[in-house]
Amino acid sequence: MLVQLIYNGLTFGAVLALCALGLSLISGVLKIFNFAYGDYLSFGAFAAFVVNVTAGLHLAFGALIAIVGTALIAVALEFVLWRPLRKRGTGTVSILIVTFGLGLIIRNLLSWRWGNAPRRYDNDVFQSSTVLGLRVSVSSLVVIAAAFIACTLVAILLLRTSIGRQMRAMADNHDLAEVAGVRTQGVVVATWAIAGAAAGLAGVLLALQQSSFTPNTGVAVFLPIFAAVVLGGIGDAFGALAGGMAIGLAIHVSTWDGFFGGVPSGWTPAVAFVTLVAVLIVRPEGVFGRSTA
Amino acid sequence: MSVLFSLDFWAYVGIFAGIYMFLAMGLQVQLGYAGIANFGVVGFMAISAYSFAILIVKLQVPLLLAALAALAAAAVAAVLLGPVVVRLREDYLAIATIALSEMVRYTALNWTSLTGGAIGSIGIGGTETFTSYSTGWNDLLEPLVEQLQPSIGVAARNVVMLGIEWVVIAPVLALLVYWLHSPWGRVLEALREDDQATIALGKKVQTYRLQALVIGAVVMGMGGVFYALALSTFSPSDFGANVTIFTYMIIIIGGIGVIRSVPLGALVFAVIYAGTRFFTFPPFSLLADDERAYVRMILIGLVLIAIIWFRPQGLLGKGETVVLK
Repeated sequence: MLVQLIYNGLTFGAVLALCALGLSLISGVLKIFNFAYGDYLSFGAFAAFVVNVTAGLHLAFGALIAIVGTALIAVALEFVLWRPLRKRGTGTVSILIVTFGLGLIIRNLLSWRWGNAPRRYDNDVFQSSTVLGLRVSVSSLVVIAAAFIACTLVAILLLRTSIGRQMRAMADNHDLAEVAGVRTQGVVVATWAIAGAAAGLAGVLLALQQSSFTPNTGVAVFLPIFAAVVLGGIGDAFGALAGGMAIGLAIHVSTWDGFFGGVPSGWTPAVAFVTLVAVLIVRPEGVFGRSTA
Repeated sequence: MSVLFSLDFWAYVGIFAGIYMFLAMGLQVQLGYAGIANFGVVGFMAISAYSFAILIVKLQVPLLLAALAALAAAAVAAVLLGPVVVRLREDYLAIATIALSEMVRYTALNWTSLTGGAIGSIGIGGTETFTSYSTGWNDLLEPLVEQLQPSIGVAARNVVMLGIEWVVIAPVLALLVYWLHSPWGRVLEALREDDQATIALGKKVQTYRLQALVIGAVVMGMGGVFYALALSTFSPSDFGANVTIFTYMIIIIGGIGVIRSVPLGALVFAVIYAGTRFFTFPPFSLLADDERAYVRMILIGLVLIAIIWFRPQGLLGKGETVVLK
């Protein structure tokens, strides 16, 4: 029972880790709290749906289109929305409100086109085998593997490439990075592309993990994702990975009846909310953080 | 087209606008004047609505007393939120308050023995026996409704409700305008613009902020009580984050930090919201009902972005005040 919960938690945690990685880059490099991020996930899920179900192609191809499509949207929005707003000196709260508005638009455009009934990909989500009493579905293995590979790629990009170093420099100190010769505008575009790609894939994986999805699937996990980012320290990409895994595990394992009789399943989202608020109050720099972000 | 000339419809729009008036007035005090980016507006509304209904159904508290206690509950929630507000920067505060308002909603959804759970307020007295908190209120309205019925027919109930609601709104708005233009309000504005300078003047910044937070919460609580009265039943799903976004839209339309602009913003919002639901003539009739709901939300998203893009100070705001940092 507990082992099953841990496995389910790891699957969800892997998805959350990838989601949190993308959101953490946006929060860290761009200093935007993007409330539309959950809807980027839904967009990715539906982009893959069009390829996989409407066009009848393999889901892997759908995931690829989701990655590219969401990255393109994220970059396009930088040019038509975020950059002009930055030039006008729009303030933090105003930007927050714009991200809310953007989320409403994306979510309801998806609803307008596809409705709010649950959708599935054209694959067998129930195909599973039992290993040592543990029910392991094929899609959960795919989810874990894909999330792991994607996170590793982003990590390599951040640690080993020039653009990655520039992104980390900007996350650390925007002005200093600019003075040191970082072409900040280019880095911003790259950040949106990477975060968008991560969101696109994460949306597909989230849809697989939950076995069905609607235009509201993304926004529903926004607070858990944000809890992961805050837990790891805002702007700390590797903290976000650990935070995502921790929140995913916490949500599932908290229902274990050995844990004070288990949190009733209706309350599990509260696990993420409580974590979020508690970390913000007690340790706003995140569990691994050193200085206040 | 007939709905446009229906008194019942416009009374409904007015009631709806009135509920959001309370929320928006509260948010103006908190965000517009004290600079507290509360994104959990709906949480205070929900706390008051539920306290009101629970006190009446479970403890048979008289109507007025229950309403006052419901406002006190919102005030207590604001005091508890105080330490969070004091500690956090505005964007962190935004996310923390969203999480807290979602926690209120989850509590309402899951604490079934107290709140009735998913079926809402009719389940407060137990999920098998449907209970209503509004019997006393309806008895109170009945004589007035009966008097008006011969002249305006079915619209009578909504018109009476509307009248009572706005009789409460007017003095609340007047009082807030008075307060916010008093030395107290000027201190709030000063600390929103530059809290270091205000501290240097010897003002206790945190005390002022906490006062604004509590006053705002109480006004939002009034919105919750009137929501309960206007609908006669409600459920946790009524208290989603969208309500907070709509409240932001209202104060952005009118102008953040311009308390007297709230009625204009609320009316524009109510017409967009209620209007797109009930307008049954072209171009609205081209869309199916559920499609109209989506288009309405898209419209609201576009308005939010457009106002911040073209007129960040709002329709009635002056250029030099309040461009939020």
